[in-house]
Amino acid sequence: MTKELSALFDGELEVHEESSLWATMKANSGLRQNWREYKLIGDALRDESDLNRDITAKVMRELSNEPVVFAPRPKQPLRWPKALMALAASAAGIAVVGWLALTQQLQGGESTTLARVERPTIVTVAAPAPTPGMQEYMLAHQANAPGLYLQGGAEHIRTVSVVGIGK
Amino acid sequence: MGDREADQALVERVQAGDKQAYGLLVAKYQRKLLRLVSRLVRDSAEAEDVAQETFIKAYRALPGFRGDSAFYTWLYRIGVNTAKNWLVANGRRAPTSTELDNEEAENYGESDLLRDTDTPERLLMTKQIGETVNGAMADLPEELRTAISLREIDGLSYEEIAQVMECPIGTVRSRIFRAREAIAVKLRPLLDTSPDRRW
Repeated sequence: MTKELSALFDGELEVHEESSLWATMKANSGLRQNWREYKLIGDALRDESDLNRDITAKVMRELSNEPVVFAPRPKQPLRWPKALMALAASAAGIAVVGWLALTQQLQGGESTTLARVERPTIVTVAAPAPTPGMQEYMLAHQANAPGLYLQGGAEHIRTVSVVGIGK
Repeated sequence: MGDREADQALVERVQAGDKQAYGLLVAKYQRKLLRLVSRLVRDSAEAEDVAQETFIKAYRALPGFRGDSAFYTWLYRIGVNTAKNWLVANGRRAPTSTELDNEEAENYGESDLLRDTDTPERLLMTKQIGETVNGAMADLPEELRTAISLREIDGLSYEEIAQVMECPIGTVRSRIFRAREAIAVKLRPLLDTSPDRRW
């Protein structure tokens, strides 16, 4: 524990190690004495004087009659998790796009008139009856038709219909 | 984490109700504060009283401390004002702001350290502590001596020491700790660690 205290004294302890050590020090006067010794060693090495003076105990005795100070923590700015931020951004994006689309639709309905489109006349032309020669030609070239393999056996598909459902 | 951040962490603990954490700050800054106050209040015993009062005032004012300045700057400001008020209350002239401003108070020279107000016993004790620490340093293995010198005298961070000594940071941490413990073992017989000096 004193090894960690030495690092803490130098401000070199990792943040996650700190809190448990502070809690231990609160209850351990031996560690607090170590802290004072480390300070004294540093002062002596820097050739400072008044090394024999230590008013810590006197101050702390005086403070024992003082009420414990409590300070309200400054309000931390609200930090949203990244995932929540992304979700909120997506929802906002969808809402904006939806709103724009809806607005356009409503405006379109009110101000524009659809052009009337004449229904095209469907003209049916009867296919010429295949001649025997044509049938033979088509049968011969069926195997080489370009869509045959892509369709994956489409030549085997037979369309069927059920007559009578709903009757 | 630097010195200022370490102090701020301690301050926040005190603000959260941990009174013992304040003792660590007192232990850390008492000598600097005593030296500062002794420049104003020439009597050694009176300087101790003023320093003690400063620490108590600072504790009471701590809920209002927001860390806008470093803790020691804030503490020294309270120290200077406490010393000035003490001088006025005792019918003595307080130095003007040009004689001692806060910045000067924090950076005054080490030549001011030994004063004729120190008693022979105090001077002897200071000398003994200094000799013991320096003697213990001389007995340390070279790598421990170098590590703690770079930290305490040159003020290098662990990372900088690791670069200078070409070793991992973990080794620096271990060497500094071992050096401190070796010196502390020789120092303890000199120190008054009786229960009434504990807190």
